[in-house]
Amino acid sequence: MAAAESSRAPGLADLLTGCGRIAPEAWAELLHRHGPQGRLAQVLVERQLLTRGELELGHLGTLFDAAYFVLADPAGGTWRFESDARHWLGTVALVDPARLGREVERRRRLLDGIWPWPQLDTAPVRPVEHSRRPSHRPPGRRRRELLDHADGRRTPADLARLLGRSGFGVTADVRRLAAAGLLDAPRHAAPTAVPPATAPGRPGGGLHRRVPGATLRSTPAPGFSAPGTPDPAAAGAAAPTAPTRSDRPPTTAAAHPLTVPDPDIALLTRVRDLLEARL
Amino acid sequence: MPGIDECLSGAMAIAGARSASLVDWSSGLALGSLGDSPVGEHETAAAETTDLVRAAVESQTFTVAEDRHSPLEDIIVTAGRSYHLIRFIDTAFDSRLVLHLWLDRQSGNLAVARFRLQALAEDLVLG
Repeated sequence: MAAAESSRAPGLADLLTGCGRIAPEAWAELLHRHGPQGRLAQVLVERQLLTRGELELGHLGTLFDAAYFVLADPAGGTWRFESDARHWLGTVALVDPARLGREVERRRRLLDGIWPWPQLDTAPVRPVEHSRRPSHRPPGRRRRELLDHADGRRTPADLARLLGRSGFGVTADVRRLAAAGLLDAPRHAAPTAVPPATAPGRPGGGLHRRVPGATLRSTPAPGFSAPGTPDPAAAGAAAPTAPTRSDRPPTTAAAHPLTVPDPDIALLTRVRDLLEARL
Repeated sequence: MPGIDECLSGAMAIAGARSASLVDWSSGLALGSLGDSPVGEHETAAAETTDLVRAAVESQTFTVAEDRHSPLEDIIVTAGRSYHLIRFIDTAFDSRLVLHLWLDRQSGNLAVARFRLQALAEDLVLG
């Protein structure tokens, strides 16, 4: 694999023009002149616009970034192999497709370990009100900047392009901010931990109202496959605690523990006795 | 002009070097690795290195009194038989990269290795 591009991942041009390293007009001129021969990478280094190291770092970073959004897209997309196709950049570094596949899968698990809410990745995001308070400012300069630029219209991809950062890095940070209850997506519901079968309103009371694990840990939305236990190595330091610290509206079962109209006292007593007998 | 491979070869040439990896800590990706991984495969080591780096970068204690643009230069972990040197790499464009050197404590020299790793990280970006 020599190159990958996605509208959700800023490319090498975005990174270099975004940080002011190369003016947009100069980039357009270089691309126009040397792109058709696939020599742009070579020219960038020859003219000392980039060092070899910078070129490789920028190229590999953007390649893996774009590949994630192309290959992990649940909508799939159309695939086509074009023989003899040449990329305008030219060959910088080649990536083994199997390695790319493993990396895409690892990144998908990593995001789900942070906060299993895939709709967030493409939704306009905004800070929640209390995130402006000094005591609620998130750790890390990059996450604070993200929060400052999220305005309810920009998606994570827009924010990545605006700030000249990797699309995956911004996506992960957005999920971390959402997990911490500092950011949400107004047009998309948060993941719910309540399967449809356990909806409230079921008459009779009793223990069936309780959804196992519904109080603290969120489970993925229906129809979305995620590993039951996030990979601790991939999930990152913030992952195990993040969902529990959420300020998201609690799940239905957890939100109304005291609204059972006629608790079945006899049943509860039996359950208590049984539990005590087992201790 | 050094690229990633030359940078990693240079790191492996440091006395006592057991492995060298270039890690993108925004994702946990190993962009390149040489030598024996402490845990058998470089991809796992990179993901775990990322956890340590993120914990330091996002902590107030280690960063709040420092310069805004490059608050951290390196992280050093000293173990019974080895050192881990994790050097931050500064690029003009936004990136989150570290150079991770696993160094044998008996045959390596921490001060020399740290100095050399700094030079390699700078050469990778500056040419």
